[in-house]
Amino acid sequence: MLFFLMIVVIFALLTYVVLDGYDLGIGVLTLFQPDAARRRQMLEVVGNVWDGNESWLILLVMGLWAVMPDAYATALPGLYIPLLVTIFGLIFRGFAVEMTLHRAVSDRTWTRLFGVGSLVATFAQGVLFGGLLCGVTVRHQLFAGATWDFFGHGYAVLTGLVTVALFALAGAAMLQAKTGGALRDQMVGLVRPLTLVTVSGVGLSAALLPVATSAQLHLGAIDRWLPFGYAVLVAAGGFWTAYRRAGRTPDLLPFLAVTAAEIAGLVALVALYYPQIVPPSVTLYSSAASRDTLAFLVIAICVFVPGTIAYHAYSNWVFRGRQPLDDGAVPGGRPAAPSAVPSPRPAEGGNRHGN
Amino acid sequence: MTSQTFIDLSRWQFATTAAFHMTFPALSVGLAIFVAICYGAYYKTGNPVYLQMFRFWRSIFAIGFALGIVSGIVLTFELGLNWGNYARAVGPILGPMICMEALMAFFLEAGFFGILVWGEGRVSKRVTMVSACMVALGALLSTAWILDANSWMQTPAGYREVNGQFQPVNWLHAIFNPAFNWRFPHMVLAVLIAAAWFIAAIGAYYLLRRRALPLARKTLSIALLAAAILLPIQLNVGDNMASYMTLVYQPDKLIAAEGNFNNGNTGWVWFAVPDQAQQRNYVQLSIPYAESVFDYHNFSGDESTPGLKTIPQSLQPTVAPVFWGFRIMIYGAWAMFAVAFIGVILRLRRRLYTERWFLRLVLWMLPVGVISTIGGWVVSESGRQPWLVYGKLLVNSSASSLSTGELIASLAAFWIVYLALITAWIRQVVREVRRGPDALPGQEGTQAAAPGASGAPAPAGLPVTPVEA
Repeated sequence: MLFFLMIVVIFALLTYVVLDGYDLGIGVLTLFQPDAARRRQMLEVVGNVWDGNESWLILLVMGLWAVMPDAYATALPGLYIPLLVTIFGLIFRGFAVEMTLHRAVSDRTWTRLFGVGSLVATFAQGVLFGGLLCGVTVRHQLFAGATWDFFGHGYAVLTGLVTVALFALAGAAMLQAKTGGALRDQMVGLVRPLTLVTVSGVGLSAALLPVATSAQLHLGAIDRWLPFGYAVLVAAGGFWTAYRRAGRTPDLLPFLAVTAAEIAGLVALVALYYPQIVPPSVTLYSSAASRDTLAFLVIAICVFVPGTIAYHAYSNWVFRGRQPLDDGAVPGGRPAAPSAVPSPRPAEGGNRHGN
Repeated sequence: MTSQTFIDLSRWQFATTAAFHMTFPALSVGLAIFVAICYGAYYKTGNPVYLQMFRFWRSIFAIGFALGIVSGIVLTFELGLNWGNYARAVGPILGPMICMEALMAFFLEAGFFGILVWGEGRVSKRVTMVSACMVALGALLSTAWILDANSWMQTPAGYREVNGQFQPVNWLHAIFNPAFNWRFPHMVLAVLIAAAWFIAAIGAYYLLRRRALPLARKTLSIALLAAAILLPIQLNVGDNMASYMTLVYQPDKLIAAEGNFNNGNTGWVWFAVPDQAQQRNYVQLSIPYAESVFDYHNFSGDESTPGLKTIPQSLQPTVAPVFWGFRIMIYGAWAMFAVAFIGVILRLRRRLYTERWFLRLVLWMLPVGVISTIGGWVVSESGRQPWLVYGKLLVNSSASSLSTGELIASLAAFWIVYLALITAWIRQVVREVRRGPDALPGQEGTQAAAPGASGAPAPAGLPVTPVEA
């Protein structure tokens, strides 16, 4: 049961990283988009998915709390500052999406806030992940470290930057599938440089990890190095595909390739760290909740998750193909204010299936 | 050992962020149901006014819903940030409950929210209808589970304690704990009533301004009808809850809410300035014999709630927030009941839409439901003090060990950010309301033509609503 639930928690983390990764990345990219109509188009890609994507974060955090209370109770205080910064970033961007979509294209304030919020949240998530990899001091099942421990002599800054690059890459790869025209060309042009930056960043952080962390990294036994090596190969293949296939059909392939690399990266980390959940001392077994809790969760997940996946898939299917959703109009079919010309591109790609 | 300052500030942080958060779900639950009702009416009758209402209220709902989500994410983290020890202790029971909330409610809402808001034109009417219902259902399920987790802290049940951790023994007892069974109906009614006044007030505004009249009349009519039906039920549920549930399971809370320090006052205190240090009230005004009637339904007038002095001072809840939270809730409830009652009379005399003084009164009632709900929540939470899990886990032994500096910084940041957000939200709602609903589909001068015709000129700054004389 415990192992199953660990897989579920990791699955929630993965889904969150993949899904919110691209929509945070799109947010970051809006900061570098000088054209108001295109910014708007980018936002609309996020508009109908961001809340569903962030639901996975809630499931991840609450799942962690339910399955491994000790891990939740030590990791959160240990990563206090990056967590709060993440939260503030997410607040601003989520609210800004709805505000922007209810206003004219010319509105700058909320679009900017959306971009800044996304950037801040992405960077802070990278920092907190780096801080977690470095390790959290725990004594008597409670956090006993200092405020700035997560910083890891700067290692967390590196992982923060890598995360920004990775999510921006995912965002650009998604946009090249979900949009058309000039915006698409712009995004195609971004995929390659972002891939190079991401790969070098990931390489550097992997090389520095053994120095930065207080955790024990296992790579000796075959059940460690085999999945690890396999994951490295898949990740390399993923980034290579994203680089090679940028701008070609099928449009979604680079995004899928980046997703594969993200999955592989997480598998590699699990191979290195298992069973440490909050390294170095809180493990899967030391933090597990009682049997009845786990049984309840297994049943709940088996009953509800298939349905959840089904209607989210349906929702994605409804919004398949290229955006914009309704030619720049805001929800409810309300046309944008006259001063704000909707994106000049008619829905010419509307019946092309991106996925 | 964690300092008292840290704990006090952590309590402020949680209390203010939770109060901010609950404002939005409190409105969203009712608005989601109202949006579903509007679309349902359109689906059945084909009357375009209902479609106009659906679109207008949907856009107001959407922004509040977004704020509800983002401020809710905050809470999922806050349970562990400052309250590590609490998180460790209650995780095996409350964690699964909130997981259920995410699995059953959040995903449902988020999955269908996109279709509801963006799907028109891409999906059939039936799918839009189903989406509206699913969003509303998700909102209700979310209320149920979060209230369940909170209720378990009020009346813990179905658990055993192992090494300072609460572990489930009987999930049915834990989920249907005594407080939940009373508080769930109370809370659902509260949020529906809160949304009803919010909706009614905006309808009244349009009637006062003589704009969008068909929409305004229908809106006001439905919302006031809901208030008139729900308020008497709510007064009854609330009264029974205080008399039975609280009296039996959490007497301290009732004692603090009544605000007597000494035994024997059979009067109902309607105004008091409590001084907890001296264990007395500076000022106290009470209605003779009323407490006996209110709390015990004893019309002889000689029954009284015990005074706070019966509880050791270290285990007393702080009286002021409990007492005044309760008064704010109940004064709001009486005011709402009175206005709803007048509304029924005016409706029977067919003057509901024309009595301007009444419409103005309804406009002023806009925040009362939300304020009452927050008042009630203050009673519920501060009346549980000094316990976090009632009778089992003290607030003082629940915190993480962190420095006070980062806490002060985060508290200040939350207040600034939330102040900015609520200002932005209010301004946006005011904007949307001032701008008015879209013109009825098919009416002349309308902009709401098919997509692609959106280049059709409309003079900037003019309301697109047809103004009826």
